[in-house]
Amino acid sequence: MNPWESLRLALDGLRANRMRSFLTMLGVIIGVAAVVALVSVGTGASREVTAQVEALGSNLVMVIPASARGRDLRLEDAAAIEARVDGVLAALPNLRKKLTVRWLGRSEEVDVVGTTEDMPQVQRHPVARGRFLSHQDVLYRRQVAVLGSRTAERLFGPHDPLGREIFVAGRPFAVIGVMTTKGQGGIIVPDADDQVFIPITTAQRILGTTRVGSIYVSVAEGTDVGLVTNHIRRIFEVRFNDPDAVEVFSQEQILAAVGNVTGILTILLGSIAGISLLVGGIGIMNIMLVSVTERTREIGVRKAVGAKRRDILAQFLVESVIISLTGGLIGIGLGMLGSEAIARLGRIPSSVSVGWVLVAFGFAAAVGVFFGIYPAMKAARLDPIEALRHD
Amino acid sequence: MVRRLPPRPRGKDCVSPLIELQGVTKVYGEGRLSVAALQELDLRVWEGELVSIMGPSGSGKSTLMNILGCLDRPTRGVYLLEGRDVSALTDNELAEIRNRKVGFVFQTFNLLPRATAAENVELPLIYRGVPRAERRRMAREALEIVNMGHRLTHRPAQLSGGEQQRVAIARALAGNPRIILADEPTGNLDSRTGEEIMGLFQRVNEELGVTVVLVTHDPRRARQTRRIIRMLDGRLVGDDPVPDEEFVRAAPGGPDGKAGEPAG
Ligand SMILES: Nc1ncnc2c1ncn2[C@@H]1O[C@H](COP(=O)(O)OP(=O)(O)OP(=O)(O)O)[C@@H](O)[C@H]1O
Ligand SMILES: [Mg+2]
Repeated sequence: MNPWESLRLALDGLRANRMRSFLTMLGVIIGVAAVVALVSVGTGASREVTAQVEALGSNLVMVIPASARGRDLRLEDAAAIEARVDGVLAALPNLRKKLTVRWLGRSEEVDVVGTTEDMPQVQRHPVARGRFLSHQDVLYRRQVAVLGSRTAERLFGPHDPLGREIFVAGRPFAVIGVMTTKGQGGIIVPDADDQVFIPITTAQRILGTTRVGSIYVSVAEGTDVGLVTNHIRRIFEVRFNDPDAVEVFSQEQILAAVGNVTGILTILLGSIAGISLLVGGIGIMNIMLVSVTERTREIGVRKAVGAKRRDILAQFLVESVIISLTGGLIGIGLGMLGSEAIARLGRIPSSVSVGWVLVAFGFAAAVGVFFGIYPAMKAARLDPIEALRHD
Repeated sequence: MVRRLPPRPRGKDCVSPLIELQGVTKVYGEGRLSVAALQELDLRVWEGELVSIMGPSGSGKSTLMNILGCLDRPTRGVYLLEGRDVSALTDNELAEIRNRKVGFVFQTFNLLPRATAAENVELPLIYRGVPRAERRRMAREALEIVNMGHRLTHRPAQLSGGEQQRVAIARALAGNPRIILADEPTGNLDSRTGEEIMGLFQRVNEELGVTVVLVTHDPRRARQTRRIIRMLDGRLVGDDPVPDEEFVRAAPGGPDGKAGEPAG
C-alpha cells in the first residue's frame, strides 16, 4: 500500500472521531505551547540580562570587597590601580545607596551614586543636558547632582531641573545636568536611568564613611584583561596581606556566570514543559489503544482482504503521528502568542528561538511515534480470525 | 452480465485441482485440552466448481473455510492452492494470497460501517496497490455484477441485509479471485433474500467461472450447488455431486430478473 493511502486512511480514522482526536491533540498542543513559550521567555530574559551586563561598559573589570572579610576599599585603591596597572584607562570608585531625594513637595527614594568625572566614559553613558561632575566637584566635595533621565522625570515632571535645588538626605544639591536615556537595567543591575550621581567625596561625607562600595576599572582596547585582573588582585593581596580580601572579575566572567544560570533556568523550564508533552503522549497512546479495540473487527476485515501487518501498522501509526504533528504545529503557534503575551504583561522580553521550536516540534513527532507504536503494533499483530469474531 | 474471463476448463477435465488438501489436521490448544477441529482431511476442489459444505455445529466447517482461505494454517498436512504448497507460508505471503486469489463472504457481511459501498468494494484493491481511478472502475463493475450499481455511495447502514451481502459479494469479486469462500452467507437473511443471494452465487459461478465454496445448514441451499460435502467431528463423511434432476435453480430475485435464467 502506498504512503498516500495510509495517510488517507489515517485522516478518515481521525475524522470519524473529531472531538476525540481534538481532545487528544490538546495534550500535545499544551505541551508544545508550554515548551515554546517558557523557553522563549527564558531565552529572552537571558538575552536581556546579557545586554544589561554589557551596557555597564565594555572591557570592564570590577573590584568589590569579599563579603565575609570586612575589608574596605578606599579612594586610594582606585588611584593606585589607575597609577600602577598597565592598560587601565580609569578606575572608577562607586558608593551607592538608596536615599530620599526631594524637590519642593515631591519626595522619591532613588539610588544615589557617588562617583567621579570618569563615569560617562567608563560606563558609556553621556550627559544629555547641562554637564557631568567635574574633577573640581569631586576634589572640593561640592554638593552638585546629575540626574538620570527617569529620576528627572519622576521628580520634576514637565519642569526643567537644571539649576534647581534638590535635597538629598536632607542636604541641598544643585542640579547641574541630566543624563541621556540608556533604556537598560532593571533585572539584575539597577535601572541606569533612575539614579542620581553626586561626587564620591560628597557621598562619603553624607554617609559618614571613608570606604567605597566598588571600583569599576576600564581597560584599554587590546589589553589582556586577564593580566589586568591578576595585577589588580596582587595589589590587594599585598595591601591586605590576604589573597581573597577582594573579588576581581571581568565582564566576560560575569557574562559567563549569568549565561550559565539562565541557560540552566531555560533548560529547567523547557523540561518541565516537556513533561506535559510526555503526558500528552500518554494521552495519545491511551486513545489509540481504545481505537484499536473499537476497530478490531475492521482490522479483521482489512486483514481478510489482504492487508499486511505493515499496512495496519502504518494506518494506526500515521494516525498518532498526525495527532502529534498537528498538535505540535498548533502548539508552536500558541506558544509564540503566549510568549508574546507574557513579554507584554511581565515586561520581560521574549525571544522565540528557531532551534527550540524545531526541538519542540521534533519532540512532538517523536512522542507521536513512540506512543503510537505500541497500539499500532498491537493492531498489526491481531489474528484475523479472532479479530473478525470480535464484537 | 459481462464475461470477464475466458471460459476455463471445468471440473475434472482440468489437469490439476484448484485446491488440494492432503491429510490436513487442525488442532486448537495443547495437551489434554486440545481440540482436533479437522482430522486427516483429504479434499480436492476443481476450478469452476460450486460446492456446499454441510455438517452439525462444531464439525469443523468454519475451520476448514479459514484454512482454504489462507486465514489460518493447518497444524499438519499439506494444502496445495493452484498446485503451490501454501501450508507453511509467512503471514505476509498468506495476506498476499488472500488479496489476489480469495474472496470472502461472511455471515455478518463485515462491511466497514463508515465506508460507502464503492469504498468497501475497493478495499482489496487498495492493498493490491491498484491506482485510484482503476480501483473506482473495478469497484463499480463488481457492484454492477451484483446489481448494486445504483448504490455506489450508500453506506452499509443505509442498505438492507440482502443489499449489504451483495456489496460483500462484490467486494469478494472485485479483485478477480480464483475462489470465493462463503461461510453461511445466507444465515442472517430471510429465505427470500437468501434465495437471491444463492442466485447470485450461481450466476457468478456459471457466468464468470469463479469457483465457489459455501457453508450452509439448509438442505435446499445445498441442493442449489453442484456438490455437497458433509462433515462430522472434523472429518469428511460425505462428498456427492448434486444430480441435475435434484439441482435447484434459485428463484429469480435480482432487479434485472436475470438471476433465474439458465446460464450460457
Ligand atoms: N480458536 C479456537 N480455539 C479453540 N477451539 C476452537 C477454535 N475455533 C474452533 N474451535 C473448535 O473447533 C471445533 C470446530 O469449530 P468450527 O467453528 O470449525 O465449527 P463449525 O462447523 O463452523 O460450527 P458452526 O456450524 O457452529 O459454525 C469446535 O469444537 C470449536 O469449539
Ligand atoms: Mg462455523
